Amino acid sequence: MASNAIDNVYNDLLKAIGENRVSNDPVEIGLHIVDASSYYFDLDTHEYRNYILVKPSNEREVVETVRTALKYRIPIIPQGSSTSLAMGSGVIYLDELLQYRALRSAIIVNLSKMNKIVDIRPTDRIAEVEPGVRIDDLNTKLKSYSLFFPIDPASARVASVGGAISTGAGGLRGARFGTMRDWVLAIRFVDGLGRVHSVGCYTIKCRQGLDLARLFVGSEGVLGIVTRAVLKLWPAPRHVYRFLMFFHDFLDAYRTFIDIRSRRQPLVAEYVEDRIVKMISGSLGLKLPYAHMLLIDIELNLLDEKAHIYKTVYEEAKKHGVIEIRSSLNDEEDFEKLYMIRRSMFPSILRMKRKPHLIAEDTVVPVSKIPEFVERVKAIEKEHGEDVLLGGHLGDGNLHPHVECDLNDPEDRRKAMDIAAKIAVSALKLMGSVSAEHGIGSLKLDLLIKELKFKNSIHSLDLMKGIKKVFDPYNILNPGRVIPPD
Amino acid sequence: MAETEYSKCVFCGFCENTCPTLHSTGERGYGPRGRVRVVGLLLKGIVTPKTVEYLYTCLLCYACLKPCPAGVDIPKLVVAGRQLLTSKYKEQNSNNNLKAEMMRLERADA
Ligand SMILES: Cc1cc2nc3c(=O)[nH]c(=O)nc-3n(C[C@H](O)[C@H](O)[C@H](O)COP(=O)(O)OP(=O)(O)OC[C@H]3O[C@@H](n4cnc5c(N)ncnc54)[C@H](O)[C@@H]3O)c2cc1C
Ligand code: SF4
Ligand code: SF4
Repeated sequence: MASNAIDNVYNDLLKAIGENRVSNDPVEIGLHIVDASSYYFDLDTHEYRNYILVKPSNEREVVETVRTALKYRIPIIPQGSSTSLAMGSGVIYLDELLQYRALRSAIIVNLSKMNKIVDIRPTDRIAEVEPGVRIDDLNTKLKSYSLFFPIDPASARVASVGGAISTGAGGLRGARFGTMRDWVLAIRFVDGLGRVHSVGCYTIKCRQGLDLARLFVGSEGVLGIVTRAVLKLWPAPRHVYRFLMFFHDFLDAYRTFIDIRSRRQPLVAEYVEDRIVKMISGSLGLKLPYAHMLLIDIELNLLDEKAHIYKTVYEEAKKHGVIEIRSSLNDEEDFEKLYMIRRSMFPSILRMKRKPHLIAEDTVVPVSKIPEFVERVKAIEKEHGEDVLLGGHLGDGNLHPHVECDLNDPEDRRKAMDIAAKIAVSALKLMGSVSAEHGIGSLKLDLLIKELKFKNSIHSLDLMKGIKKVFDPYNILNPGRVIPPD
Repeated sequence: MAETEYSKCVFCGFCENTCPTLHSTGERGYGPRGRVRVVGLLLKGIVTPKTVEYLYTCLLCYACLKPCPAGVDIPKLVVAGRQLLTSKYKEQNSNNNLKAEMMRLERADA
């Protein structure tokens, strides 16, 4: 887009929604053009002028912004807290040749200012919120109702409800509570023509024709911009026992989890491999054993169960040769300390890695196939002579493989992509999928195609493209994400 | 120092919800993640009055230090950013806007 055209867009937006809501200041733009998967890419200084930031405070301003974008046919990037791990919420994207590029121009619509918790209805166990509400802030508010919203991505402190809906986020409690798609009852959104839709119901049961609310979950900003959501809530667990255990090898940790699960379904079952544990120790300055880590949360129905649960976990862990076991019951401060170790997995790898970049894969396999998956990953690691670090949600089979690379070196980038592709095929052969919770964004388009081909369903892409056209006929909403270009 | 400290940041945002100034405006530049990046932009030579606004509204209260898993010393980076601004830009008459903004905020600071 020529510079005078972007100025026209800016002036129109100023008129429509006012100067407090629109910015073309290069420094402010600079804070919004990247996300957590593209923060290391830099644009040339003059390129900052190609983007406009809109910070709507209500739905009308979102509608006006879409109308302006339509008039000039300029892309819109809906944005929450920019923690996307799939290159979904910044202007940087990965093209078909796996080259990193920036959208030539765009309006970034950041929804952080729409952060009202509109209504909490304890009897109905629902909350109605604006998209900019952060998940942890919602849970803080829900404490006084003894309710909680159970989807807890490791990024819940910062991730927004709109972002979590749009990525179909999961989290540590995935094994027990599933992902966002199980907890969104209704959505209001603005489509690519600027029309406002309200889909879904305030009730758990709802047969409103085709289930558009469900379709919207995980649509990564390509179908519309979420302006409201009705979320299902759950009684907050009253007593939680948290265990942090260390083992000599992965299988010991895995078997301990399986055996504990056969006696009591944990709320959380997280695994971090030994090399990552070492990185976390280094990054946080902690003295953790150089061993495989298992974090388990178990809900107690009654406090009287305390001794029984402790004994159960201890026995199972001992049976599988546990090296060290730490535990805490109902102690928020202690919980946070233990949880911080797990939460810091991804940032610690980033900090301690030897190469400049990191690709975090999001493969998932059925729980019974996890040991085989881990074995295959080890074989790929050996074949390429590169580390593939594993850690994540053991409870639902979503272990994230992390591959270090230098994206500026074409040879190294190819190699990393090759490793990622092989890991993806391993997951597919084990009845798994290439993305469990981070979404496709622009980072995993090639893997999505691989998966559909593997399942003899590549023609399903036509359905996706058709749906996109109905919601957004002029392809202005987050173009190039989720749905591969023709 | 500023380059090394800046390069540690992984843009995860874990530091944001402890920051008292972020809540006052909701603007990303009023929070630690934003301020870290503002210094990064400053190092690249991208500076506007917003740079001054974001860096000089930091309370240097250190609330953001603990939640950062990458060990970025955010307040130290903010101070380094302010020093860089002062030494590099304050006397440049060509950038009057920036100078005026800095003076205004320095007065408010005092
Ligand atoms: C350290 C770390 C740990 C993480 N751990 C997890 C984890 O355990 N589980 C997990 O699922 N994810 C995890 N993530 C990924 C990320 O945090 C989630 O995908 C999160 O849901 C994104 O929320 P956000 O507000 O940052 O969204 P953004 O990054 O801003 O946006 C994500 C996508 O949603 C779209 N979008 C955002 N808001 C709207 C809206 N209102 N309307 C329409 N589209 C919108 C964007 O266009 C983009 O495609 C992690 C990320 C980091 C950095
Ligand atoms: S030191 Fe500055 S950035 Fe950090 S929490 Fe305090 S005010 Fe926010
Ligand atoms: S917590 Fe640390 S690494 Fe994460 S955004 Fe803040 S400063 Fe950067």
